[in-house]
Amino acid sequence: MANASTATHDTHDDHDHKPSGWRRWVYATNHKDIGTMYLIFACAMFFIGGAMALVIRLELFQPGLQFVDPAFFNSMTTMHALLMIFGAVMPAWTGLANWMIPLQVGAPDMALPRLNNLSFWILPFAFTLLLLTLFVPGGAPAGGWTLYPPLSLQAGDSFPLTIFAIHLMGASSILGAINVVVTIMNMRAPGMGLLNMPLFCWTWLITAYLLIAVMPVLAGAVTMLLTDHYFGTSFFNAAGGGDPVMFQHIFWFFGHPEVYILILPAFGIVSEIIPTFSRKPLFGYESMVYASASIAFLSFIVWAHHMFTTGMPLAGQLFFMLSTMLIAVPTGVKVFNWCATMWKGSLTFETPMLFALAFLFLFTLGGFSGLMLAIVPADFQYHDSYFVVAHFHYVLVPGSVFAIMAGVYYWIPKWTGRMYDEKLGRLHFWLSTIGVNVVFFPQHFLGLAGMPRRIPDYATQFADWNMVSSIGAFVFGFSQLLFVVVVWKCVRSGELAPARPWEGAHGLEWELPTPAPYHSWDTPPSPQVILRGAEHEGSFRHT
Amino acid sequence: MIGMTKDIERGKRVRRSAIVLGLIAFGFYASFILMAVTGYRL
Repeated sequence: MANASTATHDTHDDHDHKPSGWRRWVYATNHKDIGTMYLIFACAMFFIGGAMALVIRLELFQPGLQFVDPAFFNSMTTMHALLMIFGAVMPAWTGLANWMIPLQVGAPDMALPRLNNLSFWILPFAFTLLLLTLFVPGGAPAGGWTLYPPLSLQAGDSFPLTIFAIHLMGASSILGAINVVVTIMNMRAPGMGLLNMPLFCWTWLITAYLLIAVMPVLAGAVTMLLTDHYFGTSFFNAAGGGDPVMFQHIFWFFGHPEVYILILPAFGIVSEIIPTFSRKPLFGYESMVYASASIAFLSFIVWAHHMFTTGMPLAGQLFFMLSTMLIAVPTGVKVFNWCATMWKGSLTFETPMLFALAFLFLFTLGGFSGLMLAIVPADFQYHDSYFVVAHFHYVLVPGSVFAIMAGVYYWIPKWTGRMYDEKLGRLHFWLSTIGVNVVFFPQHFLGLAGMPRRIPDYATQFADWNMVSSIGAFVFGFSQLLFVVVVWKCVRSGELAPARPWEGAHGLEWELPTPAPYHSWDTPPSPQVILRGAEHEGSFRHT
Repeated sequence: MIGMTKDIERGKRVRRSAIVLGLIAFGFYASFILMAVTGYRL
């Protein structure tokens, strides 16, 4: 059956012309080209941000000041976070969305291709501005990625550059999100209902709505910082009648949904990969959709759990504690469904599945420490300690980053027409998984023992676990070079991949020839083809 | 001909939804600044 649709698409090969040279990339409007640029950009930022993380871990290898001065150390923590969140993870998701959403919904391209080009090309300028701050008087921003005033207002010449860079990143994200929503709502193949969509599209749709709602809030917050700094306003200046805590409220109204922006597409990818390598339809498709939507809704009403220690009425503490704990319910539904999908499945453990399984275990672990942090009296102890650092890195590294890796390994045969080296892929997986646990697990102990975050030096009682954590960081960091080797080898000399390299894979993207032609789904897929994909998603009852 | 009409209609729908979403985003931006300017508390 797959061959039938492949043959249909072969007839389009003579139209498979593409622009050549630099014009192909600078004027790109093809979703695959833009997706590729996003992914390469994200990879570059991942390595720059990673290098900064290694500077941090190098300095913390033992107590005392060794390599960098404290101001530069603080810049490293701030820049590492900004680069990883806005430069690596978010663009990687947008890259995957660009590549996969049109293929999965049977659309010829994104709905707004020129806007898509603009969304991408804003990013290199934004991050050039941000990285330039390393070379201006006063150094790069050092007040943390949360930019809390009054500390952030004391930055040197880096301040306007950072604010402008954040504005640009936000604009890029909003435009990208608008494109995703408009594509999914208007460009689905005839016969594909919303509840027939692959979960990656569903989770991205929900993510896109979150982005449209909260990125402008961040833009508003940094605009007010800018006017406080340069135009004499006192939004966050207590001396002028303002309120610095108000910034924290506004920031976390953006910041908490941002966490879900970083993780929801990961849920989608894992929901694609686990059924494929379990050779079973996804268990509880609809409940997955509703759980994702519930998580997104709850993300708007939990923000103040980041700021229990600023002081708030008991009713506020209770509300934010309980609403935060409530997130465990839809998340638990998801974890249950993934386990139930694997139950009695015919499992195999290729690299994408390994990364998806590590995601399942380690993200859940990060979720549990999140529950601990939700408890108000406990949070008073954990706040601003390494326990928090351990928690959010468990959610973001073996959570988001592993899911991105899983997605790349899963779909790279479709993108390049070649298979990656399975042995090297597995080696990359094991080094990453061991490395990530060695870096971050000991940080729970450090935090519980009282080590504060964002400090370049520490008491000698914390020395042993810091050394272990730093060794893990170097193992994890350098093992990511292996990922580049795997991708490079795959593109250059990988074995030719069949149209459907994973026997359990269903969904519209696998109905296309491999590599996916430059122009795909010029003719929308037939209802039968859509039905085949929906069976895998477990959503066939809706067709 | 029918296909072309459909494409034009879809184009209009795409533009309309993009503009609406853009306005919603701008609304969030402006409303948070306005809330801060006026000192509005929930």
